[in-house]
Amino acid sequence: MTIQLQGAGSTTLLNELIKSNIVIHNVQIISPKCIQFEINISMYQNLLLLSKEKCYNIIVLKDNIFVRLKNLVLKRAGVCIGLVLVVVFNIIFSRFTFSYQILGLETISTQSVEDALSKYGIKKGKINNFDNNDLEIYLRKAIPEISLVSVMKKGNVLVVNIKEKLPEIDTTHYALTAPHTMLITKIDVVNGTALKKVGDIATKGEELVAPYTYDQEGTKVDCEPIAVVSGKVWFVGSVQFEEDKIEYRRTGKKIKNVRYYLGNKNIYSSVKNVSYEYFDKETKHVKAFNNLFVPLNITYDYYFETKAVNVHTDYASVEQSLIDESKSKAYSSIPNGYVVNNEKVVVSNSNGKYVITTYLESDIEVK
Amino acid sequence: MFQFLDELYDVSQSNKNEFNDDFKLTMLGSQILYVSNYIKILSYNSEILILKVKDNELNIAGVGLAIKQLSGKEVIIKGRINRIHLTKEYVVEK
Repeated sequence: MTIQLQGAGSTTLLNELIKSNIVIHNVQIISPKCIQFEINISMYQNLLLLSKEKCYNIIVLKDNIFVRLKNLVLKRAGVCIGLVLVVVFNIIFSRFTFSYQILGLETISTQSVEDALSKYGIKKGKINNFDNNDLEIYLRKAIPEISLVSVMKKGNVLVVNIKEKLPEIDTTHYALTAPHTMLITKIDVVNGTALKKVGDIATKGEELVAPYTYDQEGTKVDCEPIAVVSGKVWFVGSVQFEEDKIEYRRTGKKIKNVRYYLGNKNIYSSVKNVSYEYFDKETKHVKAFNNLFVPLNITYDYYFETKAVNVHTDYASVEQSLIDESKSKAYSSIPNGYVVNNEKVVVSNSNGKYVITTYLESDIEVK
Repeated sequence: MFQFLDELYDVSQSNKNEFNDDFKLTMLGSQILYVSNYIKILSYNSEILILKVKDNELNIAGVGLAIKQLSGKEVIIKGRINRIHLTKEYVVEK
């Protein structure tokens, strides 16, 4: 240590050091009342006592840390030995693995990671010597769902930080299509390529905006179509009516044929020839017994004779009900959320055959 | 050193105890001077160092004198030493 000592004449200072048996080296007279010298750490303690007694001022210019450390070790041997023991114990203790901390799992189970660690040779409560990089490579191979993994020993805890692979994302883009047959009134395309223009009619399912665009170099680039297509759609309900029509009415005569089946096998039939020109047929299936032991089934076929009759109905008498029916059909075809802006009923007549059609107009916005 | 001193006492036919408290000088060339059994420093700078010794004062003159080591019993001086003499000189009694 290099010391400057002040507080008395230089000669007095030196003589006081001599009296106190303090050994010093490389003495320099800095000023009439200041000397500078080097001193061992052991002598420094005596110097401190002297300076305290004589009220001298000590300035430490250069401290030798190794000397001080050595002095400390010698003075506090017990503490130092304890410290060394703690460090050694800590080093040995920290090599144990008592638990795992597995982070970043979403689809991979904790158990599968622990199994992989166990197969690698890492056991809880034991000293495990392993190379972090090697273990990381092993885990990536053992669990294919792992994208990135980092292994770190934090005290007695093995921290395994896992980044799972992302699920495959469907990058296919689909065109914007017309949900109904529509007349396009407005088309705003943000992304994609418009395949229709204002005034065009798009049929149901037809593509309105394609899922691609062109970059500055003219290369076709796939993209998610983003557009707003406005238009008008019509919902239609139609009813047909004939003033004169032929109806077949039963005359009251009938023929009955009977067939008996055991299971699916026909065991007996009583069948007569049907000689009617026009007839209605009705069939009836009956079980002979209401139990499962005898599966006897009987089929009745009834043939009713009919005769053609010409029936006349005035259109005027049924017009309103026909219009109501066509409207009802049209309204029932409108999906939820549509507002009818306009309603129109058209009646066409061709040789006594009437077609009553109701048109409902609505606005649509396709996004 | 002690053997040398013993021989010195023998050769000079001196009593060893008589010199126990007396100072001793050892000089290595003209650059290093070892003084033991001095009492205290009377004066010190780079050109002169005066030490109080038993019954006398040791006057060391030179250039660039520096105390390399100082303890209660001994001092080692390094520098170009020109002259060493005792202040109290003996004279022939008439």
